[in-house]
Amino acid sequence: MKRKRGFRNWIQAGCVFIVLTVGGYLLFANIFHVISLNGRKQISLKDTSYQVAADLLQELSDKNKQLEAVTQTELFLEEELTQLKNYLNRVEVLMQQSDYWNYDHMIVSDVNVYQYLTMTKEMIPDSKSMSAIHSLFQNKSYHGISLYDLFGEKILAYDSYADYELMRLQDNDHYYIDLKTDEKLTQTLTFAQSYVIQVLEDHIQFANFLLEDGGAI
Amino acid sequence: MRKALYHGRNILFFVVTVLFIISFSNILSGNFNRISLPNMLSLYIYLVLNLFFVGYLLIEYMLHLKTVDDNRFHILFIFVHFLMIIVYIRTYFDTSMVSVYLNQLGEMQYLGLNTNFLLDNMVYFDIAYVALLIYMLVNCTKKKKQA
Repeated sequence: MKRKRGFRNWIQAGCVFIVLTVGGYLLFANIFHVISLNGRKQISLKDTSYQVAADLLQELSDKNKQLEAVTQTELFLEEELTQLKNYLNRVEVLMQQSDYWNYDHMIVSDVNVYQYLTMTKEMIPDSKSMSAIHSLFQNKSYHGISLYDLFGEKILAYDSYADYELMRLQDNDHYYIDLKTDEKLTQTLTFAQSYVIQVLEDHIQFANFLLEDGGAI
Repeated sequence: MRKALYHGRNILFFVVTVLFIISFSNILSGNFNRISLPNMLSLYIYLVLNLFFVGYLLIEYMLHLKTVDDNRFHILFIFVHFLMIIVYIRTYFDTSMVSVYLNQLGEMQYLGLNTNFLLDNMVYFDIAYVALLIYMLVNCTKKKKQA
């Protein structure tokens, strides 16, 4: 009888241990959560990549001004050239008008990163106008290389990145399953910045191509 | 003191049950709105355990079982339910989740965050509940033998 009672006492002690362990974990998790809310990581956004992007935007603006003088090219008809120039001007305006340039610092949180990515996405023309540009590259080649391979593919891929990241943020799983959520969000921000640079570089390259094709360089 | 703990325990259990009913209906309405939900097994286990506790507390009151006078059980019960209330409060008032809601980033994102967070924590609730249940049943058996 005593043995049985001892056994029950052990079971009860085990239950108390489980409750205290699980409860302790929850308690500490909540305490650390409150601490992490107070000391949320803040990162500077006006770093080197910001300056590089600002310089590239200026360069794109200069190229667009130069393009105004170009009225015909070997590969594109006058109407097509106007369409391409309008597209490049539109990219420049969207880039210039974006709030992207006003962000100095950011507290890393899902909401802020979501807004930043939305802004990045809005810096790029919508899929419809990009598809229209894409059709101009069809059946055209430069020194034997298809223009679609040179520019078309890249331009069409632009809006897919931000869309993909925004979708992942909405799904949450990718960020919230990871223990280093802040690190993941910071990586997304850094990648968004390099993405803006890449978009600008590709458009400058395209503007250079048009200038060369039109005999302005 | 014992009475205060007993009543405190019952009040906390009532509050947690009400919060659970609200959350459960929210999650189910999310499901009706075709928001894809993760595995809800932990929630169903919680529901069964919660119903069991409701039944047990009634029987405990009517038959005056030994757990009515067990201060250690009351404290454990209060501890677990106090933590549950914190988690429920965080589910609805956590800074990040509220900011998602206030920024109108979409009801889906808000509901998704909410549900994921609650379901993640419900696994711990289940473990704690099972431990409390075993403790309680062992205690009752003890009373029978001693009587």
